[in-house]
Amino acid sequence: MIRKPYFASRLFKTGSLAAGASAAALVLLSLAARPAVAETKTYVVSWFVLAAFLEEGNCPAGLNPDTETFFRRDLAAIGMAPEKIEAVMTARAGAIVAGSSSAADAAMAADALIYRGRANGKPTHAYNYPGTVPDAHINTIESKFAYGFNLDGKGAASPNSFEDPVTHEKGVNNEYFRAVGCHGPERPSPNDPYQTMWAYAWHNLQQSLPAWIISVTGDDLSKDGAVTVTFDKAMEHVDVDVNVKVMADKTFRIDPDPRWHNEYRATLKNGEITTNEPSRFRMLYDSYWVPEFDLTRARLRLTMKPDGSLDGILGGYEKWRALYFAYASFGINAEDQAGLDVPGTYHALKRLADAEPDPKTGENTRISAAFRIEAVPAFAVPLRAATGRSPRGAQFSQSEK
Amino acid sequence: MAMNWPKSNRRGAMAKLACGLLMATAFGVAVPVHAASEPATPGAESVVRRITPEQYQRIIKDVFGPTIKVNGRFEPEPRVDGLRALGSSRVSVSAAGLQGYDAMARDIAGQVVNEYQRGTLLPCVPASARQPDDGCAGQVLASAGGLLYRRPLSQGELQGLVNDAAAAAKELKDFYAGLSLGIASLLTAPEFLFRKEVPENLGSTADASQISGYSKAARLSFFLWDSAPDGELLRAAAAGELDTEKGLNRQVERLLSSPRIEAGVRAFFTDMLGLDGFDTLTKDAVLYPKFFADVPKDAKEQTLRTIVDHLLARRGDYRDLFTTRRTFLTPLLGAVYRVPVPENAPNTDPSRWVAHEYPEGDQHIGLLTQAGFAALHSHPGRTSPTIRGKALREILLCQKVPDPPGNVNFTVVQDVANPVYKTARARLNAHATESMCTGCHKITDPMGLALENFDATGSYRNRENGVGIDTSGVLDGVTFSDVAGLAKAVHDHPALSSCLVKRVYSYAAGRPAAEGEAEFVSYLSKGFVEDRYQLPALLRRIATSKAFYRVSAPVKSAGDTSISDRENAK
Repeated sequence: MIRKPYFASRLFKTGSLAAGASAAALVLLSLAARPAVAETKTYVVSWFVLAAFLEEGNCPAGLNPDTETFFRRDLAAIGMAPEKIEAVMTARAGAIVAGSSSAADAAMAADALIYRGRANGKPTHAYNYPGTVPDAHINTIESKFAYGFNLDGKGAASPNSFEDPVTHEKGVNNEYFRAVGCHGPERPSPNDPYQTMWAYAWHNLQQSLPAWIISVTGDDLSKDGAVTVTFDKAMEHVDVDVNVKVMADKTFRIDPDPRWHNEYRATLKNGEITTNEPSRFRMLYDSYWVPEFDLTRARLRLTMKPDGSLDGILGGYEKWRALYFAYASFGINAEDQAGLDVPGTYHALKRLADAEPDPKTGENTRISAAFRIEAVPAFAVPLRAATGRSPRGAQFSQSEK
Repeated sequence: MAMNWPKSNRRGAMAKLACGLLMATAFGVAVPVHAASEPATPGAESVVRRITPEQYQRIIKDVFGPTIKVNGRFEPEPRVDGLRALGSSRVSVSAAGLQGYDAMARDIAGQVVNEYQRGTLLPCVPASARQPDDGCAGQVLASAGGLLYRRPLSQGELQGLVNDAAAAAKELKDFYAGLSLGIASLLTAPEFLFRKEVPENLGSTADASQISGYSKAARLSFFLWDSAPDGELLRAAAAGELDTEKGLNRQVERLLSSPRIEAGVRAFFTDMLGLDGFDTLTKDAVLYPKFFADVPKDAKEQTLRTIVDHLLARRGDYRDLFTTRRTFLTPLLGAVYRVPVPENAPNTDPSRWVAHEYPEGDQHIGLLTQAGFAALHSHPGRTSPTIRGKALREILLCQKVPDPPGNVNFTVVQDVANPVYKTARARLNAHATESMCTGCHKITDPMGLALENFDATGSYRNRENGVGIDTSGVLDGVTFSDVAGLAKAVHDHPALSSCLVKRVYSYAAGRPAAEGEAEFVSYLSKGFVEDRYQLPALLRRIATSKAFYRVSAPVKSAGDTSISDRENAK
């Protein structure tokens, strides 16, 4: 695999490498050793959330019920007596809403709700063993439109597929959005795109996540033509500006670990970049939310905007259990504070998973999904050039990828 | 930042003369160069200066060690004739200020004697921690007092402090509480808070006096290190060595070759360039979201690092500060300037600075294109060619620009969204059609407009409101088309170096050069040319001159004594 020169034209336009003569020499050697690259633009991802297309009526059965309702529903489904349910909900309200319940009552309510699964008649942890909570068949998206790509290649013939509202590509597979799209906490308001679980996670995690670096390389990025798009993990986190938005124009060192290097052949047309064929997307993320993204048959489309930023959609098949545990890791907080039915989501994801069946069980292990990506201009340099050495443990074999 | 200090590069008189002639020719300087001797001066009235907050903190660190924290607020000094150093001679201490000093003194004294530090900070252990011990208290107070007062304490002063400490220790049944009171008394004494220079008539001129040895030591130390004299300098003062040419030269060389000279140079340029303005500098968060948190601090530090590296580590020509492409950046500053600055230090390394050199042809050239100038001399939400031009003339060329009249209509200049006047140049041209404005804007704007490629944070731009920026201008007859041309014009301006000389001398003396010192300042300016515009050489000339230590009349102030402080020390 040939590593593309990340040290983009942005770097050379503005000056010599600050890291010193050795770095500069390395860069020059790199340039001399390979054909001249006409232009590369580099970016750092500044926004990464579930790509949710909102329209009136795409949840024909309505949005999923609020927390109190689904708690009562689940407790009733496991056979809890009405008066006990009432006691639990009263204690919960006092503990969480008004803060007036005793510690014992609050603990009783928490236990009842967290251990609302049942296995052989015994309580089980609802988030660790969500399959033991009765499937409530939560409401899911029923609509013509969803962001994403025709991942399975079946086009309009693909059952339950969508149409992308922007590209109008038919046969779009996005069962992840179908599964969670009728949760209030996953439906961003046009006036407040930051209220969803994904947005909450991004805002809270962005400064502790490894930065994701995108590079776009082509002969002339002002013209249509073939380009190469790379995604790499940086050694640094992003910094945020005074408005808590990812700061543009920072410099990042590329992690040489080939596991986090993704490279796609793509086409640039009218400022839109579209990958030419499905590929894999693998990237380290956050251990608390989604530890690692590992999309198969990944596709990408990005728009180069006049203000210098990127905006687009990344799609592919992700392990549905990885997506589930993003919610499960929030546990009772996801349910109580965000109002998202965690076991209900588990059942929906499992039911709607649409790729890579397990050879033994026949159960699909992956679910089609699409994510919104935004990125701002940044500088990127190879780690070796920046430090003059590779860190210990970074010497991975190219064959691992 | 650790610098590698070159050995003293003083040369013999003949070699110096030859170099001076050579360099004068090379730089096209019209000033005649000759190995002139120092002209006699009548001196000027001695000034009493309040130590600055930075000096206070540095002295505490020097005397008691780096673990002592200085917590508290200081009263501000006014800026007089472009320098806070001159303002420090125009201030007293208000009642609130005294309360502040008292609180800081008690806090510092408490830290010095607390049980965790006393073992390492104090030179002795009392016989009993619950009773007075005059011997140990006297040892501590004499040692610290000598460094804080910049002279040995008189017997009476020391005995008074020891008695007070003993009384308190007895009352509180705590030796260290008593000692703490004694240390706090030292820290609130006028002898510590004010630099009072004592004349000592050596008969050098009919009506002028040299200041005493201890006063010379303090002058030297505050000038070159921005701190009080160390033990060696006080020893030299006590031995009378500072009154001899050989002894003075030896101490000056010691101070100049010490790494502590960096603190002195930083203090001077912080004052001269008004870099303390970064402590309160704010920018519009919507327009300039990157300019927050550490960026102002880094911007100030960038300028100081550039100066220290160029003038001290490289022994560079002062004028080249305005054309150098070498600087230092942090990753945050890299984002502001939009240049790549990778992290190259371990996470635990607090220093994230990297050396950076802009390539030939880049618009980043010299101090004027750093945020240390461009951001400091801008409004929170827009640039100001006028403010930048005024700063350039007043700070760097020592030329006074009149303040605008009170009834000026700034509407057009401030309207950055004006659909007709889209650039600062267009808005200023419209504004300057008012006759009362034209005169002053002619002397400020042509230079300031050449810096319009740098927005109010110092970030590069080549368009404003979609219109290309015209950076052409003129400085005192020298025309240019861009900021590189401006940088060269500033570099070659004859007032640039003479202004620095005036500033350095004023800063050192705590007052503007007196009328009778004009010839001496001229001598310094010529020497600066002869010394190839190297700052250390200028500092040496001043520090070893007789004029620097000459006062016109004895200080007459309340509490002053007629005896010299050397006698006082006995």
